[in-house]
Amino acid sequence: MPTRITKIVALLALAALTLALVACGSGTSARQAASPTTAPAAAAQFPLTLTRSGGKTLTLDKAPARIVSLSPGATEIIYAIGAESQMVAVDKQADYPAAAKDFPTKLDAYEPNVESIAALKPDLVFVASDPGGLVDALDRLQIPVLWSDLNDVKTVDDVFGQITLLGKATGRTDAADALVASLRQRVDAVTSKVSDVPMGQKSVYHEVDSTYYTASDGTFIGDLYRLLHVKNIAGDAGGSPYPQLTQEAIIAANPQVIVLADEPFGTTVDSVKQRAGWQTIDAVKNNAIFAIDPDLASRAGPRIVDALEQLAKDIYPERFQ
Amino acid sequence: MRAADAGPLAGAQQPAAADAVEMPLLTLRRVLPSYAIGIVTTLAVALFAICWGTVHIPPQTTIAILLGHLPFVSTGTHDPTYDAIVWDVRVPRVVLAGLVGATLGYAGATYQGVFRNPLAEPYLIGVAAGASVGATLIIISPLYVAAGLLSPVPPAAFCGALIAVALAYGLARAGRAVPVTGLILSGVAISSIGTSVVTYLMLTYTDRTISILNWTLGGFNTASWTKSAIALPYMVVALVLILPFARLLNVMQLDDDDARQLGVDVERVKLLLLGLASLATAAAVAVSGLIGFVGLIVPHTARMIFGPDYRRVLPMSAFFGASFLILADTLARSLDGGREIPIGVVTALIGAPFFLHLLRRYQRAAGELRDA
Repeated sequence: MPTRITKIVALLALAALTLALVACGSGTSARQAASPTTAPAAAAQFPLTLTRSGGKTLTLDKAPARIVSLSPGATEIIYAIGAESQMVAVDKQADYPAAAKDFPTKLDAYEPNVESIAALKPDLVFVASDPGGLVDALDRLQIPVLWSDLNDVKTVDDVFGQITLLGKATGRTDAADALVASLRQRVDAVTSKVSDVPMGQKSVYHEVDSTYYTASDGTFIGDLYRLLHVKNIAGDAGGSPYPQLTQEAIIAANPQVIVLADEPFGTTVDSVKQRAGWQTIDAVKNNAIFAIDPDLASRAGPRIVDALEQLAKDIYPERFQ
Repeated sequence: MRAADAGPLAGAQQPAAADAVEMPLLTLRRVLPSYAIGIVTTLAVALFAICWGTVHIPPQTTIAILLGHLPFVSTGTHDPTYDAIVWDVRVPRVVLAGLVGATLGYAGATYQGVFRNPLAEPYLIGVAAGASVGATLIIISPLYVAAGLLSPVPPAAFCGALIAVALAYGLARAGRAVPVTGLILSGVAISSIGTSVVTYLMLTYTDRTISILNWTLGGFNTASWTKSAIALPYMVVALVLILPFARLLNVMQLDDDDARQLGVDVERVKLLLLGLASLATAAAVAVSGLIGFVGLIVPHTARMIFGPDYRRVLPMSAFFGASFLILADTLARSLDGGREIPIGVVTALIGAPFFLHLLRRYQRAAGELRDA
């Protein structure tokens, strides 16, 4: 029973988290392919049937030209594969790349208003969660909605899967495939440099929130550490993707690295060092506390690889000069 | 004037009123044993809680570490990690949970006494909603610093709570009197407004949702000596000042008019008691967030075990509240491995069945008494 409620809270937390990612975007390397003038290519791919979260399928007769993206990660992908000219609205959290931040039409993804979505006459709505029965409501209005739930994106590979999915849905499979190939190359470049590190030689505490919410192995954040052969002290968390740890568990686990994804919300390296009882932790003793832009690590978009590269440099400075 | 109007009626009730004041005749000697039970229970629970956690530290080591932190006592050196866990994490947590539990129990008993309503609890007239609004406004502002000594969240929550209670009281006021029903209703209305504001802000400032949610769920995961020190003065002042009114609360249980006959300005006393209880509750909420259920069931439990006399109900509610919340927090931090369970979940899941059990026994006993 407590676990169930913990799960609900964790889900709420997850929802909050995904939102939180959106908060502070600012420039890291943009990697966008294509120019906005490129027309939807490869019409031959359509009609196309895709499976949505929740089990139903969605059939698209032709490449959509009026996409509403209600996920900041998806919006980043859409820009990166050059499909932004097919997009008519993004969600309020979208802030990357710069053009997404200034997008003329922005909708609220947390309390989505079906009317204002319908008014845009979209031929594809992309959602990463289904708050308040939005998907049902759009189905009833016969507005094509592609729901790919963020909770199902549990690894970096799953993030690449999102890119492939959006490539198909927008009719830009070539650009999506090229993007995934280049991202994989960058991932391989990182993992090849740490392949000889014994798994779990270092352990990490990844802080999502200053009340010690963290990300478990069952998230793509956890997967970043797995790729780096770093042990995540949160472990698999027994089903809750974003558990709240007790302080004594953190102190006892004695992580060699602490990564702060909550720096934009007032937590600093210094404030961590000053927490009572934390001075015995290796990461605090050895000054191995690093901040990471939460948008990089927690959006299911191309910048997940930026996060991987940054973490690699922070955790293994000697290997990544 | 009022007393004169109510003359005949109040006269008829006078023996009852006199009974309430005189009958139990609780002398200090008769009260002390129950106080002693309360103190010993609370200390035993606290010691158990300090020894218990997901990190298994032998009890003798824990106790040695504890003693080692007393002035002029040396118990040798200990594993610094154990020392940090016991002294910097567990002890402050247990102390804060105890303080907050004592305050909520005590304030709950006071509210129930003043309102003469078994459903009254410390959050009833706006403390919780007001504190949430205060905390939320800070969390969404650039001033937000998550934790630590300089965090503006506790003072903001504190001020919010007091403003909400003052509003509820002001709106319910009719001339010199504050009708109890009116106060409850205006409190409920103020609470609804506060809750809506918080919900709206939570969904609007989505990057802070988790922080707001986490605050409203309450808990002791970020407990520190500082937090206890901040809240302690308010709690102590309120607890000490309310206790002398225990006898008067006994009389007020019958009728305000009976209390007036004793020459007491009932409205002023009500205002004072509610103000003190709200002040203490506001301090508790400021350092722990919202923890439901404690303030409701703890006073009833004290009443069922030790009888309705407020000279016992008040202090025993403090001891029971402390013990209960320390136990609940111990479960919250140890049931699910190294992960936290929201404390409100524990207080309801563990507290409610226990309370229902007590209630059934109590009612059965009362029924047998009636039938006899």
